[in-house]
Order: sequence, then structure tokens, then C-alpha cells
Amino acid sequence: MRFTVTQADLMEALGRVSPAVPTKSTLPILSNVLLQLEENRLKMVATDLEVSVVTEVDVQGEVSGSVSVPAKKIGDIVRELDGLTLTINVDESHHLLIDAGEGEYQVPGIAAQEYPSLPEIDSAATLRFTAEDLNSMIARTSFAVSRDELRPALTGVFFQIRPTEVRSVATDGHRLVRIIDQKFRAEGESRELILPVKALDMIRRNLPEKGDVELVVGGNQIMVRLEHATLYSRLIEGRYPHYESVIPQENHNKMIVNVATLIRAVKRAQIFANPINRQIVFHLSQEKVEISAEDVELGGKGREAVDAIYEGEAQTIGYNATYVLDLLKQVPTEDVQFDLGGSTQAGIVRPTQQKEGEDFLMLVMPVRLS
Amino acid sequence: MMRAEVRDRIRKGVEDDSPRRPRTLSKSNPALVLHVDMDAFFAAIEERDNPSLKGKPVVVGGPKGSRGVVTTANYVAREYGVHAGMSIAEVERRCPDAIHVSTKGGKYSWVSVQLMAILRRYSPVVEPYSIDEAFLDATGCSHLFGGPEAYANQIKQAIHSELNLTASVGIGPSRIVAKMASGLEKPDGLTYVKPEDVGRIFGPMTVRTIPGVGPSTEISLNKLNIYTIDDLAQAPMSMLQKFMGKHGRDLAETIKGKSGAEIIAMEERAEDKSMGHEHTFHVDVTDLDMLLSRLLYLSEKATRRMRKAGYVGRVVTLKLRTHDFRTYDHQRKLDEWTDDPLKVYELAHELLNDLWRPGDKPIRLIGVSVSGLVRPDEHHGVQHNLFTAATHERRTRLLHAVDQMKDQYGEKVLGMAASLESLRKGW
Repeated sequence: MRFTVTQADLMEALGRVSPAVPTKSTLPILSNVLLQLEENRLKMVATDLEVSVVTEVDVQGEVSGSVSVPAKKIGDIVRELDGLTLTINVDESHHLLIDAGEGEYQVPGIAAQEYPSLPEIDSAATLRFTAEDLNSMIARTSFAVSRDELRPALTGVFFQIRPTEVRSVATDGHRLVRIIDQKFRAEGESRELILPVKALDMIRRNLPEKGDVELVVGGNQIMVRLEHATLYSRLIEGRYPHYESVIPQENHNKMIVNVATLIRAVKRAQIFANPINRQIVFHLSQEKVEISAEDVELGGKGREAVDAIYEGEAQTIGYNATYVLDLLKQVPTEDVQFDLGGSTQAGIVRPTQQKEGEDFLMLVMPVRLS
Repeated sequence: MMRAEVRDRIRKGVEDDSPRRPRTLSKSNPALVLHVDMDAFFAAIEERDNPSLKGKPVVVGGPKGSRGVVTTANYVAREYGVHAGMSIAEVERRCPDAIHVSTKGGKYSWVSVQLMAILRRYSPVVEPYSIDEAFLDATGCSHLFGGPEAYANQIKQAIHSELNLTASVGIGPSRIVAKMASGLEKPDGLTYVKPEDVGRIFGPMTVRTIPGVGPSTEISLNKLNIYTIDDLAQAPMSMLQKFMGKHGRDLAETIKGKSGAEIIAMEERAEDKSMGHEHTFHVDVTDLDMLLSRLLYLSEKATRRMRKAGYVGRVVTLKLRTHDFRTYDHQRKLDEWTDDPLKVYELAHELLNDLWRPGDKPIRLIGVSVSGLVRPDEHHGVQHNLFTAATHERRTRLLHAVDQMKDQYGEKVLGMAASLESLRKGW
């Protein structure tokens, strides 16, 4: 294999695939990227066996061939060769040699045949999103997924595809996000899929600014063709919990407050929250709304009144400050509405005004104040 | 259960429900701690109840010819070099005439309950430390009985007249000093170590003799050229802090008996780091169901203790020892704090799957412990979960009812059916 490429082109391509390279891996070859040259097209592949990314770059090819090389090593050296044109040669013992004019660098590789092959998708259905909608859906859901590998279903975002709407849902049991997009249209039957958060992050990185994006679903795999890359991902198997049943129907205590004001108050209060459970307390009454926190171990406490409208029973509710802040950051309107039940029930958090054709709702579970 | 290693027996399985009270200490009211330690407790009870054993070497532990270990040896047997933790096979070699008595946990527990009741008449703050030892806070109350030694003597007499057993008592300015003192004149001893005498009496002993100093702490201390308790007492605090952190500093302060109150706080932390139980099988186990059943039983026991002490925990550690005495442990964090045996068991089961599969080496010991303990209160709320909030209340009520039954009728009154398998005789 032999070709010539500019450092900028090669670096860009490496940058697109390298996020798929696992940081810790049981199979050493997964730390490599696969390079395949066919005439003037260099194809690059990285995978962690769950998510795979393929990209292509134009080069001046001389001898076609393939090899796999450590992603970090080649990324590190190519990054430092900026502005140069590189001639790359792979010998029979799979050493990749970079000739950068003044310097010569040799990266040890492994035969391409050892590299895992890409999943094959037997195309069953195609889902079409606008890049903008998909971007905003991923941005607002992926933060809420669980990291708990004991419950794999919760580690992804759940998509419910219906002919005239799509619902995306994420939860870790402590907070939940549900977005219903009623502008969405799908052909064919309804379906449900759970996408790993890593795949969603990679899709989002590579989304075009405008236009449509197609998700091809087949078996337990999904394929997404993006502007400069194609992404494959395994779908998470398992049943997603029946989330609709935990959305409270009768939360009669309503609070409306300016988002920026509340974020500032919560940020100040959490400085005094216990570092382990980050507990802050909302003191709610028709007369005033206050937020407080106290660290009994290290000492220090804070309490402040928040300019808010509250209609409901006087009560105190504890929350994890991190969860509250995470949710508030997603609210696009100036004000946010809380529909609250009692101090042990899920609270609904939503924008005071929904976008057209959308229903955006979040839940946060309180902390038990015994 | 009594066969587990002696150290672990001391460390774990400690039922502690006595309140610890904050005290005000001053020069005129220095801290005074009593350590009451029964002499060859199990063996002494057996001798008491069967006078024909008197004067003969008695070994309480696994039955003769078994793979078990010695739980307690009486003083006659100790003259043959028999000590707790020794294998029964070794006992048979060293002392062929030894009379082997198998452990009767229930009987000893009952005597222990009687003992603690006696101690509570003498101090409002009694901390049972194991089945046959306890710490008493004597600060400010020993003068009511005519001074520390007279006070300790009255306690010893009460134990002797009511239980017909002997105890050794250590008195000191800190728990550790008291504990070390009680060991000096066993059996039936009474040793009062005043703060100014600590250096003279314990100074030349090695640091390893300090309760709680194990092999790894000993190595760390030796690296700093600290070999004896004297060395430790004279080591600059800044050096201990720098190389061993708070642990090193606390150790030195403890040994100097600098502040009783601080020591209690330290002990409290050490004790509250984790709660767990382990079990050595009588026969090495290769059957997954047997391991799981035992794991469920141990998870029940560990969480029962947590609930008693008002803790919820988050990190589950599984410990396995294979037949060749290799010990493995593996831990993982739950995503929520809990005191529910099933949650602990579920994660422990996962950990077991990671470490061991049927067909791997036979298992000799299995243990589970929970750490990351906090006591929920208004400042340490427990995060609710959307999907389990509804069942959580029911679960909490159920566990509470189970606890009440056990409080009233004993630990064995009820348990989960799946854990029964592991309690079958012979395992």
C-alpha cells in the first residue's frame, strides 16, 4: 500500500473515526484504525464492536492495499506534521512508514484481515429526520441516560417511531426526558429502538447543518449515512420500562420561575450542599419560594428567596442540585413551569411554551427528607 | 459461623446498638475507658456447664477430624501451643488428649446478652465489641464506685457471681490502651494504665501489638523506621501525616491517649466504613446455587445490621477465597443507596458472575459487604427512583416488619426461602 495525502486531509479523517476507538479494550486490535486504499480513495474504519465509523478521504494512490495501525500513535504523529504533504507506505510486515520530507516515522501495524468486519445491514426500514430536529433531540435527551450497566436498556435513548410522530425518551430512574415530535412522518409500521448514547454522540458530531439524515434500521443494527462518515451501531436489546406510567397526571402544585434566576440560585445553594448527594431543598409556599442547602459535616449553609409564582400547598421538597441544573439547562423559554405533587413524588419540569408540533417534558424525582 | 478467622470475627459481626454520647472532657474529667474481655469465653462456658472438663485441655471449634479451626482454647490447651484460628488437624498433632467441643453459638450469645446487661448497670455507655468483649465509658462515673480500680473490681465480681465466669479488665485513657491493658494480665486480670504510664508499659512492644494495626499498616510504619510503640509515640506528627495521612496521625494520638473523645470518633469511622458478613464452607463448594443461596443469606445479614444501625450503603464488595487459599474481591457501586437485601444480592450476584463460573476452582469462603455508608436524615436524603418509588414504600414496610419479628423472636425466626439451602447441615 502506498499513497500521498496532505496532513490536513488525513488529520480530519482520523478525527472523525477516532472517537469510536475504545479507551479501554479487551481486544488489542480495537485500539487500531483500519486503512483501506483503493485507487485514490482511502477508507478508514474504527470500531468498539458496538459502534463503528467509516470515513473516506481523497488521496493520490499508487499501490492499493490495507493495514490496521494504532489510532493514538498515528493520530499523535500526524497532528505534529501540520502543513506537510505525507507519503505513506506499508511494507510486508505491516509497518506503516510516513515520509514527511525531513522526517521518517514508522508505526507498527497489524494485518487488515485481523480487524473485525463491519456489520451487515439487511435494510428493513429507513427513518428520515431533519438534521436540526435530530440534533436537538439528541442534545436534550442523551444527558439523562443511565450509566448503570446492570440495566442496559436505560443506558440508551429510547425512540418510539409512529407514522405521525416520534418520541425520544431518556431516563436513569432519577430524572426523565420525553420529547414528542409531531412533525415527524414515517412510512411503514411503528417500531421502537434503543440507541446507545455513544452512537448518538457520534451522529451528532457528524451531522450536517442542514438537510435530512437517514437512519437505516435492520435487525439489531442501525446505519446512518452522514456528510463525511457512515456510522453503524448495535441497538440495545431489552425492554424499555413503561415510562408513561410514571408521568404524574395530577400534580396540582404549580411554580413558574425565570430559568436564569433559578439556575443562579441553585448554583449558589449547591456550593453548600453535601458533596455526596448534592441535596438542596425547595421551601414552597404561596407567600415565598426559598432554596436552601446545608453541609452538616463540613459546616456552612445557604438560603435564599427566589422570585417565583407558586400556587399550591406549602411544602418542602429535596432535590439533587445536579439533576435540577441538568434539566433547567434544557429549557428553551425564559420561564420554566414546575408541576409538583408531594415531597416524594416526581415533579414535572417543562417550558412555559412548547415549540410548534412538539411536546417537551422532563421529570425529576425528589430526595427523601426523613 | 464461629469458624471464621479470628480477626474478622472481632471486626465483623459486631452488634452495636448502644448509644455513643458526646462528652465534654476537661483536665479535671479526663477520659477513662474500660475494656472488659472474657477469659477463654466459649471454653470457660463449656467448663462451667460440664465440671468434668476442669483441668483438661478443652478446644471449642470444629469437631475432631474436621477441616475446621479452633474458636477458643482454654488455658490448659494453650499450654500445648493451641490457639484460636489453628486448624483442628494441627490441634490433634500438638495435643492429642484435647477434648473437642463443638461450638454452640446460641448458648454463647445468651451468656453474652447476660454479660452486656451486667455491664450496662455500671455505665450508661457500653459498646459491645464482640461476643465476649465490650468497652465501657467510665469517664466521670468511676469515682461513684471508689476510683477506677475499685470500679473495675466490682464489675469483675458481678460477672463472677452472676455468670460464674472470669473476665480481664483493662483501664486506660483510650479504647486502644484499655484493650491492650486487658490483655496484659489474663486470665482474671485487672490492669490500670494511666496516661503517663503508657510509654513505660507499652513502649517496647512492636506496633503490630496495637489493635487494628495489621500487616500493611505495620509495613508503612516500618518504612518510616517506626518499629515499637515508643517509636510511634515519638514520631513527628508532620511525618506521620505526610506519609500515612490521617490514619498515621490518629494512630499516634490514640497511643498517647491524647483524647478519648477523638478516639471514639475514630473507632466509629473505622467501624462504619462497611458492614458485611462472610462464611467459610465446611466443604469446598463448586455448586453455583449453593453459593448464591449463601450469598443471599449473607446479604440479608449484612443489610439487617445496616438497618439496625440506620445505614444505607452504595458499594457492594464480594469476597471469594478459593480452595487454595487465594482471596479475591471485586466491588461495584449501586446507582442508589440501599439497605435492601435483594438489591445488595442482585449486585453481589453480578460480581460473582464476573469472578467465578461453575467449573472454576472450588470456593472455600464467600463474603459480601456494603460500604459507602450514610445515615439518612434531613441532611442526607435518599434519592427516589421513578420506577421503584411505588414498590419502595411496600418494601420498606416489609423489611421493617421482618426486623421487628427478628428483634422480638431472634435472628432465625424468618428469612428468605432461597437462602435456606445454604444453611443445610454439613455446609
